[in-house]
Amino acid sequence: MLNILMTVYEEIEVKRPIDPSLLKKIANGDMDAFHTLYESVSKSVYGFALSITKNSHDADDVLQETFLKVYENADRYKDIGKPMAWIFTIARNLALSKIRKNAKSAELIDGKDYDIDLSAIENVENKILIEKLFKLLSDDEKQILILHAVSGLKHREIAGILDMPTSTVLSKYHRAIKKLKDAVKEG
Amino acid sequence: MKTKELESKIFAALSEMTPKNAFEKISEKIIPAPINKERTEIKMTIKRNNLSKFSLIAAAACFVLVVGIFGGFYYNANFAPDSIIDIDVNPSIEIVTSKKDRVLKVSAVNEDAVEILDGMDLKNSSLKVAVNAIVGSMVQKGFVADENSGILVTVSNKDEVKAKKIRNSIVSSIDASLGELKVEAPIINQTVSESDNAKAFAEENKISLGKAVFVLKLSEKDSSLDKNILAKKNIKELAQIVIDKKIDISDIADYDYDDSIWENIADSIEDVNDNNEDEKVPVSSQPEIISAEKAKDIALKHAGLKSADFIKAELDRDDKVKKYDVEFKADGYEYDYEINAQSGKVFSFDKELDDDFKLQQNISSSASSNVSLISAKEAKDIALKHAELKSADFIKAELDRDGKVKKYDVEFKANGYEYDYEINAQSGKVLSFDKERIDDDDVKVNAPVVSQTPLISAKEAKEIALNHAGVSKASFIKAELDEDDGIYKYEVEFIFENIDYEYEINAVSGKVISFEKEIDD
Repeated sequence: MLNILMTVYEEIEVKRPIDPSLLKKIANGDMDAFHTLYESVSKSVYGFALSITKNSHDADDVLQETFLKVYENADRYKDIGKPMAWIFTIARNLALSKIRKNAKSAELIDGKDYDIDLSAIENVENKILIEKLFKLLSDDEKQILILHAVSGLKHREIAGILDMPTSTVLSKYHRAIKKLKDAVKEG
Repeated sequence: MKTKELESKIFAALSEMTPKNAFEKISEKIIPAPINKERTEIKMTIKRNNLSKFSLIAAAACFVLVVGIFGGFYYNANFAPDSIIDIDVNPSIEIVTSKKDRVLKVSAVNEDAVEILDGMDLKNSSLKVAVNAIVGSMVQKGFVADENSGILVTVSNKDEVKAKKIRNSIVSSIDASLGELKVEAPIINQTVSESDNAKAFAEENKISLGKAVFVLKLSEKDSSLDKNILAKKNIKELAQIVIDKKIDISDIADYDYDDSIWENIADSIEDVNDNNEDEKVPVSSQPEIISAEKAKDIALKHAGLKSADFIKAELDRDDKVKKYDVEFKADGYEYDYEINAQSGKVFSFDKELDDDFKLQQNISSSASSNVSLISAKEAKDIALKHAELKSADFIKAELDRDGKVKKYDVEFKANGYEYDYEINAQSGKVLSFDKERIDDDDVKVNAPVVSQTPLISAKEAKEIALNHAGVSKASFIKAELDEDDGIYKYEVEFIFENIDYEYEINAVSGKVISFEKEIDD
């Protein structure tokens, strides 16, 4: 039971929804509001960007560009109650154009299609987990699992962002989880 | 390891990886009121008025004329305009690029184009990215909405090889963006060289050079057409004229059309020949490529057919070896050919039963076919019955033909939940289902009170899962209590006869929340 409780509280901290009024404030140039928004979603945006670009440096760029876009376009955000989905859609488009831009150079790295700096992760077990995640999962599986793990978005919402049927997201999600669990088991 | 635990480890690791100084970097880049500045710039670049400013939105049709002009330059290579690209949707957009295909300037030529470029800063981005962004915006704002939309890509350049390169890259990026946005619009592309005649005509009629060239050539083709009248037509009207008059534009623009002119994306590689000796393409660098028609004939002949319904015959430029992808249906089979575009040899082919055909056959005479599929309506009914509902708002009920097992994806909403079913299209069995609350980010975030309701035991959960699976005993992998959005549930997993079953069981009610089974390998 204790374990459950801990999970619950962790989630509350992580999966705090965005207050829609934040975007209105940002539209008026409120940097504090912008910072609050950044604090609450930057990790998710970075994780998601990393899952698409598979490159730490590019994900960093996408993170910055996404928030610049959010800042610049906050006045045009129509309040339909889905600020998270809006931000992730921006991040996805930026990440995809990043991949396209890098299409040529990416071909040069043979064998490994990811270039991720794991040095910031302290826990060795977690380091191995992320390495396995990028090595074993398909692109879709990476994106779906990471979005689900870091953003707290529901499968249905993820389906919307990635433009896939919910059933596909679900089955890919389960497959991703299974692959990772199996890999962890094997060591 | 529990799913939740796995996810929180991923979260923790990614949190550590997130760059620590990114916010400072972002703050530094924020310039006060950047949007207004961009808008002013765009307005300043409006050069000429185009015809029918807004009629096109209603018509939901567009043409894109892409014109690259090689000019005389006074700057160094990085900043000198190398090509000028007009994307002419009737919203007309002009892109100026450097020799390295970097965008130097993007201008809106008319008011619709201002709307399209609204807030975009494409300067210094690559031409591909710019085209991608512009096409995205065109789709988003409804300028490219359906199959009736047409996109004309014209590239003019003194250096024809370069023009061709730019054109091909633009066509494929438009193609890719449209594909990504799930919009199908035909692209016509042409390569032209800048002629004084066309230039004067363009200026006279206040139209883009690309459109001028197209109009002039069209009027040459059919003497009944007056170029001055054509110039005033909007793009959809021009397209309609081509269709109505059955004008063969294959030698004006690259177009690959079979039954309907607007059904295919033009992918031909033949260039518009301008009778200009300077612009002859070196023969050696461009091996002869067979036409799409020829590719179709080769495929038909190989299949031993006289005729077929063609789905596509597209030139695939991506690979080193150019090839045509030819797809067609005949006699209840779907054929898929890859044909070497130079030698005309069949690379590969594939023939499989056509599902649509099967379905039709089943409806008309289910007895004659050994594989009968249920209808979408039946699939919906099965899902509704399973969900114990009388009615629902259906989002979709689609036959998924990809897998070995044909199944329907059925989605619907009812009583604040969204349901997602996979139904075996042959047996009508529920393969998997999922039920999620329809809510926004704001639900279930208040600290959930640990439920006081007594929970069922893991043993009970296992029994429920076994019962549901219709299995008497199995080897259990796990039966764990978990919590998601304040709902307590058991995750039960077991293997029976090489099939891996995964269940989520509501720990309070004992109901099956979701299940999945797959062959364990």
